Amino acid sequence: MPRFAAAGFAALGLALVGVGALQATVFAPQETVRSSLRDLSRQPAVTTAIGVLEMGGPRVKVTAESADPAATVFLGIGRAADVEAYLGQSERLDVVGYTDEGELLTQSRGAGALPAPSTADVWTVSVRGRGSASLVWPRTAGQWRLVASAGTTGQAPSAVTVTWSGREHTSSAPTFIALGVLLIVGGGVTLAMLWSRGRPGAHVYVEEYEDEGVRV
Amino acid sequence: MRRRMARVPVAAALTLSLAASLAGLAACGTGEQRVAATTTDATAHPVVALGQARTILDSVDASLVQGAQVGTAAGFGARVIGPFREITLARQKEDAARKVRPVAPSAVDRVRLLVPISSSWPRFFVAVGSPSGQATYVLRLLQSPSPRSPYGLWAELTMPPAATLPEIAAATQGAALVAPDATGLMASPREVVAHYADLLTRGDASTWAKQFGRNTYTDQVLSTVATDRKHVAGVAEITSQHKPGTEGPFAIRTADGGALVIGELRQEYMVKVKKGGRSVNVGDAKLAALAGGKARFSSYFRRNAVEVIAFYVPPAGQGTITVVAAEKGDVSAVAK
Repeated sequence: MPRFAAAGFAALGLALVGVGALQATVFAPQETVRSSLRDLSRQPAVTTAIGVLEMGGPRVKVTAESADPAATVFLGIGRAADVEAYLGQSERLDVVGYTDEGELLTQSRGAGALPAPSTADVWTVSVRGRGSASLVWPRTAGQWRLVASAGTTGQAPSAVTVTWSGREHTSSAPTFIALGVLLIVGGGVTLAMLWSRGRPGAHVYVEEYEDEGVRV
Repeated sequence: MRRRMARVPVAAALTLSLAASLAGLAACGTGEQRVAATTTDATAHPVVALGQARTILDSVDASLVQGAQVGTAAGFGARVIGPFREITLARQKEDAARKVRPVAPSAVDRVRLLVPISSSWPRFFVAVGSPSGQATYVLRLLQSPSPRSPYGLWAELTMPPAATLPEIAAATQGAALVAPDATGLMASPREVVAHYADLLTRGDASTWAKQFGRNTYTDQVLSTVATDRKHVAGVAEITSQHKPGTEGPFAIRTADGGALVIGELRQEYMVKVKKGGRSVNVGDAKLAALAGGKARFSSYFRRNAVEVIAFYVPPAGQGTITVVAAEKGDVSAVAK
């Protein structure tokens, strides 16, 4: 019976090492998270809800593209309260998260046209580009929101891509592997000892002692 | 038989542990990540960050250049507003009437920013700089009336050579706004503007004359009126009235508990020819141009000017109010 238990522990150890290896390779968390919104024609300007810019990592890169290469694409990030004051009740598409399949989750809000964001000065950072624009934002204390638009009015660009990076991961792979190795070694040593004691020579040796009445 | 029995628990343990671990791994991915709904933090903060102010000032400078080239009000767009816009357009009118090429706006370097803390609109901040080729400093006040309106250059005040700015919190921290009716100062910001208007109108006879220290701007305004009165003595009568403007005042807290107050005044300067008097020449060619090219008048001459003054207002009981910078420009003139 002890042999079965030792073998079981060793097998469990092997399994844990395997799981650890899988976590460190196949199931390893991604260094960057990239999510997109596409085919946004005739949609209002795209904005991010509070917390979205920080949710996937400490550094975020936002890229917006317009189907019209001559259109001015605008990206701006400002304090959440200021951006909300600018947005008012106007229609927009709020990004509220992302899926594992790489799509940004959105919610439609408000009604009525939004004036072109490039005419306002609530942006702590902003960029304008012909056909496309890109902006990198490091995690910054406070609440921040982004607005992406294209053209002379507050319309959406044709595509928006958000890439978060720099996230520190706490992988459980080392724990699995270390525990697995311990169980393998423990189980293996126990098996070896039991096997050693179970050999015929060993029994004679013990029996001889027993016969001599020395000690067991 | 014993060997066969040993394999069963080992295989079972292996299968179970693998299954449990894989199930655990699979549970790690939930399919989507959503942010939780969060209440917006409406705490007051510096109204502009340094980079943001740089972008705004770049746009203002570009608009000034474009406006000077185009030569129309539309050319300045929304980046030139308030008294500065009125004065600039009046100068364009003068230049056009005199057929003089407009002076290109000189670039202003950026020395420091005075940034209030606020969470509402209208908002303003002040950029301190020095026009290229000049030894004096200017205070450029930029105002944004609403969240959807850009900051525009509202006034550009020149500091006299001897003037100094009071100590004010760094732009990254921001300085507290001072309400127009704030107490604890030599006078509230609103009172400062009203009292100074009275001083410029009445001179030393003003009740508030002692509240203000002597300064170049006050002396120039009062002495100009006195000199003009001498010139037209017996022929015409001159009245000069200064009144607080409709906008402002803009005020931020200084490090010593006082305030830097920037206020707008409107001056009406009237020269009335006495009955039976001779006609009077308009000595200043620019003023004559602003009056539609009329270089003489026989009834009256009225000029309207806008003045923007920056005051250092100490805490109550701690000295006199000082003029630290000023801007003045004629915006209209009528000669009859």
